[in-house]
Amino acid sequence: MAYSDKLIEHYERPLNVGTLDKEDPNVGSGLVGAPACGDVMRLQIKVNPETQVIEDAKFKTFGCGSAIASSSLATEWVKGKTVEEAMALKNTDIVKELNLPPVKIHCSVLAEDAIKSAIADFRRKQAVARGEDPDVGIGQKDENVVQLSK
Amino acid sequence: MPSPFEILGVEARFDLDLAALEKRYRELSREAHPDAKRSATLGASIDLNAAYRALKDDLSRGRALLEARGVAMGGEERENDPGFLMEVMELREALGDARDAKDLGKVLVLATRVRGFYDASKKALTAAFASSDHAIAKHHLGRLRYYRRFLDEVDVIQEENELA
Repeated sequence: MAYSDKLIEHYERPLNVGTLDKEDPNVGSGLVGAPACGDVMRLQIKVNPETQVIEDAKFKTFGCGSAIASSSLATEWVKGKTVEEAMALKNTDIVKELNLPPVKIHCSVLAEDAIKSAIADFRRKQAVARGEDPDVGIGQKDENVVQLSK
Repeated sequence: MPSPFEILGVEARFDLDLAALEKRYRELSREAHPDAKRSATLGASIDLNAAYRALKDDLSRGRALLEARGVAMGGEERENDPGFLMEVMELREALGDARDAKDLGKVLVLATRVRGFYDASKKALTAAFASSDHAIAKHHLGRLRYYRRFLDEVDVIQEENELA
C-alpha cells in the first residue's frame, strides 16, 4: 500500500504539536479516542472571542501515522477560520487531501470529532462565562452511547 | 468461513487453557501437514496457523469470540469516558517524557502500573464473556487495546536502550 507524500510529510513532520492552556476560557479542548485501534487524540483551539476566529490550534495524538497526519492537517486547516467555518470541516476533506486508504478513513473521522469536540468545549466555556446554563443547546448527546462504569 | 475456535475444535470461550490450545494446534498441524496425509492441503495448514495466532492473543481471541457470537466490533466506536481518555493521555505523555529523559526506571514503573490495569481489565473481560455481557466485553476489549498500545511502546523503548 502506497501512502501519499502529503500523508508522509504530515506524519514525519507534524505541524502544531503541543498543548494550549486548557484553563484559558478562550481555549477549547477536544479529547477523543477509538478503542478499536487504541488511538487517543487531543486537539485544542484558541479562539478570539470578539471575532470568533481560531488564532491557534495544537494537537497531541498517540496512534498510527494516519491519525497523526489527520490531526496535523486538521489543526493547520482550522487556523485562521472562524468557529462556524471550522464546524463545516468534513472528514472527507482530510481523506481527499491525504489520500487516505479505506482502512484509515476512521482516523480522519476521529480528527473531525476532535475538532467538533474542541469547538463544543469552547462554546460551553463561553456560555459559562456569560452566566448561561452550558447544557442548553448542546443537549444533542449521542443517544446510542452507553456510558459504562469502570 | 469457520471460526478459529471451530478450526481448532475448541470450545468458544475467552479463558481457554493456552497450553492445551498449543498442544491441540501441534496435533492438528501434524495431521494437516501434506507429508502426513495426501488429502491435506496447504490451505488447511494456513487456516490452522491463522486460527492459532488469533486464539493465542488476548485481543484477537476476544475479537474472534465476539464475532463468533455475532457481535461486530467496527472501527467507528468511540471511547466515551473522558476520564479514561485523560488517564491514557497522561500515561502516554509521562512515558514520552521518560523516554526523552532516558529514565528507564520511570519507564518500568509506568509499565508495571499499566500491566496492572491490563490484568484487571482482562479479568473483567473474562467475567463479561462468561456471563455473555457483550457490551461490557466490548468495553474492556477496548481498554485492553489501549493498554497494549502503551506496553508496545514500552517494548520499543526497551529495545532502543538495549541497542544503545
